[in-house]
Amino acid sequence: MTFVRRLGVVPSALVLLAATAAALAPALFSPADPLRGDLTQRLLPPGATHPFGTDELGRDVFARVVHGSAPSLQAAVIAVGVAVLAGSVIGLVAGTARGRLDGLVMRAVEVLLAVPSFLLILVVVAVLGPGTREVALAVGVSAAAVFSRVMRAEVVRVRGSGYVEAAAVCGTGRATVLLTHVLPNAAGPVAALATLELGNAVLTVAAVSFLGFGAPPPAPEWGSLVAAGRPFLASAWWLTTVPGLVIAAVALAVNHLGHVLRTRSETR
Amino acid sequence: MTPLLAVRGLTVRYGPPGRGRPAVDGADLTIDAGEIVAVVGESGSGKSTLAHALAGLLPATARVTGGVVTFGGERVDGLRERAWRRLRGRRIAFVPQDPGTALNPLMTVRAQLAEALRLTGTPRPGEDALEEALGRVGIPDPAAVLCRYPHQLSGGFRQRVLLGMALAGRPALLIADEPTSALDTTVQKTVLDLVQKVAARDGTSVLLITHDLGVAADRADRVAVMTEGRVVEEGPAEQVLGSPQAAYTRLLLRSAPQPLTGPAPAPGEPLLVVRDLRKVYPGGTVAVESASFTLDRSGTLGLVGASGSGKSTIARVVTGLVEPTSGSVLLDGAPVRAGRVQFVAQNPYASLDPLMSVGRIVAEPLRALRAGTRAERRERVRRLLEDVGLPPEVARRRPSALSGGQRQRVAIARALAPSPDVIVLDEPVSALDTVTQAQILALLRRLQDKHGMAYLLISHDLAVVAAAAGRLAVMRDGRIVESGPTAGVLAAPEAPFTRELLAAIPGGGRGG
Repeated sequence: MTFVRRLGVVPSALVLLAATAAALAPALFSPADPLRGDLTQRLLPPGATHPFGTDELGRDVFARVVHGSAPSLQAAVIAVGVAVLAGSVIGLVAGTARGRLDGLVMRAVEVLLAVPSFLLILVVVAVLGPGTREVALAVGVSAAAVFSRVMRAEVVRVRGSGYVEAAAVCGTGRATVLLTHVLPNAAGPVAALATLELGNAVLTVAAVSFLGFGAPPPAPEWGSLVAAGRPFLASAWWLTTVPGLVIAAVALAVNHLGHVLRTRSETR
Repeated sequence: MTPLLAVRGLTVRYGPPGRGRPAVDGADLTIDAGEIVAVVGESGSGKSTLAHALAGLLPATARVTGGVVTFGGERVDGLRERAWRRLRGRRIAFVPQDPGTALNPLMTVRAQLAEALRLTGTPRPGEDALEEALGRVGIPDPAAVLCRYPHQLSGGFRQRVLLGMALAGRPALLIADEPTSALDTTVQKTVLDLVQKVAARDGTSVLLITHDLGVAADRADRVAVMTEGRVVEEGPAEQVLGSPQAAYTRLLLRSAPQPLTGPAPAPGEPLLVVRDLRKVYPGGTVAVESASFTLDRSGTLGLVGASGSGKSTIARVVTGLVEPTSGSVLLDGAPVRAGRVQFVAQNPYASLDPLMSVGRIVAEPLRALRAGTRAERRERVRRLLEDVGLPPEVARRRPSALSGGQRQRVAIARALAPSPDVIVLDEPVSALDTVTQAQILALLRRLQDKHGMAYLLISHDLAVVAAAAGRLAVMRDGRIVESGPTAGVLAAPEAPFTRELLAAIPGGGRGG
């Protein structure tokens, strides 16, 4: 089992590295313009000049996938960032305050959890309007509830520990105790959850932009690429399959690396 | 006569071959039928590994690399798990250390006891058999206890249930791994009395693993002393404890807490005055009821009581962690100011932030009081570490790199940092080995002579308090039932509970 796991580390790292590099410097991978099409080159299957084929307007799919990685990954990272930040603050406040505020906040979080997350995302996007950043925010908000619960549980655990008590006897102020003792010691499980959530966020962001709420049409984004290829499913399979495989590969790679990191930190 | 159990040159190693020293290194031990043999040693001496090896309960990471073990004339080392299962429970029984975790919390006592009885060969144990098994370990109302879940029982009762399960099959040998180290002294006494009684009645041999020389002296026919995996001394209890040969045995004996001798300290100037303290927790639990005591300047007051007697609540009130429901705590006639009362907690593994360096931990009260510049604080930390006998480079390490005794020294250095008037010591040595315990108590005494602060020493162990405190107060059920100079209270205890505590100190049985 551990051998198999170790076997997956290098390919996962390579996939993630390639995706990140494509997001940072897309021109390095594909000099072609992802927006400009050549109508004489429509719907060409994958070949030597167009490794992933071309779409119905003669645009190079490889270029579109490469240039699509920046908004797609950015949205996933922002989503997780929003979730970690908002969730941690809510959890920290609830776990520290206890009493009525704790009850109020946590019941609200439970209501948030009770709503199917996809529905919640669509509601938020409907309010904010379409766009990559808006989608990221919506995905982040829907994931924040889980983070806040984990953070609160950790804060409650750490607050009862001997060193927090010792700090209180030393005369350390409440805010300082929170920042120097509680937060660092509570952060472990939250960080572990964040790695898990990143793979999830890649999928969810793709799903939302597949539904058409992502970046507006000419801009390439992985989820909208899949959606755009749908009318040609019978004649041009590569339009949907290739971006779909890329999404799957990145999500798997992130999940796998996250899992390896988590088990490593747990056994240490 | 062939002994019941004979161990010759047993060697057990953990981890990959050829690395590190063995956990048990060529241990020899014999136990005759009906005999109680105590194995005494510190944590890490290999005594627990030895016990587990003799019960066939070694973890998968451990390997027996040498030696011969015979039980009832037959070799049992290298037995397969299936063969062990036939022996264990029927011929060899095992009582684990912590009764809090050894019972399944989701099963009633009845279900767990029935399982134990089934394994010993009673296919469908009837109510009589179950009640008898509990009756044998002195449980007064077996029918009621059978229906309970473990969390509804006290620690002492849980250990009795475990003992009942172990003894249900009338084993020839009972292996008890620190059976009472998680229990109060008074409960410890009743459980050990029981083990002794049942062993005598059934002719069961007992291998008693303990870190407490007093327990060994009271209960064992023969004593083996272990350190660093080796049995350094073995023989009749009177001989080993009366005229020890091995240097390590002598060190252990010297480390046992000795009551302070000499005249009672003259009543000094009162420093900390606690009047009519009462604490009721939400939910109506009365933790402390009208407690009053005075702590003299540079004096030590010992506060003794069983767990749940309210002594820890008093520590929390005095250190300002908990607001009293009523009553007053005055330091030099005024409410306690920040930094004047410091705290050393029981568990040095929990009281230090695992993510901070020792230097930061010790400097924490100084930072809180905004005392001095960064360089001055660093210099002060260095001196404090020197004071508690730690090298300065420890400041850069994390608590996880330190032993239990070293961690407690760090906690003491932190408490010393703001030069407090009072340090509250809540069970400061109960998580430590005997030798370390003696070192820490000596350190505390030295620091008091040097810096002149007062100690409020809280412990369930009367022996520890008697060794360190000039005056003591005995608590029971939230009230102080007796107080006075230590020597006086020990010589002529007035409250029945004090007498009970005094009688429960192990080592008294044979003039230890």
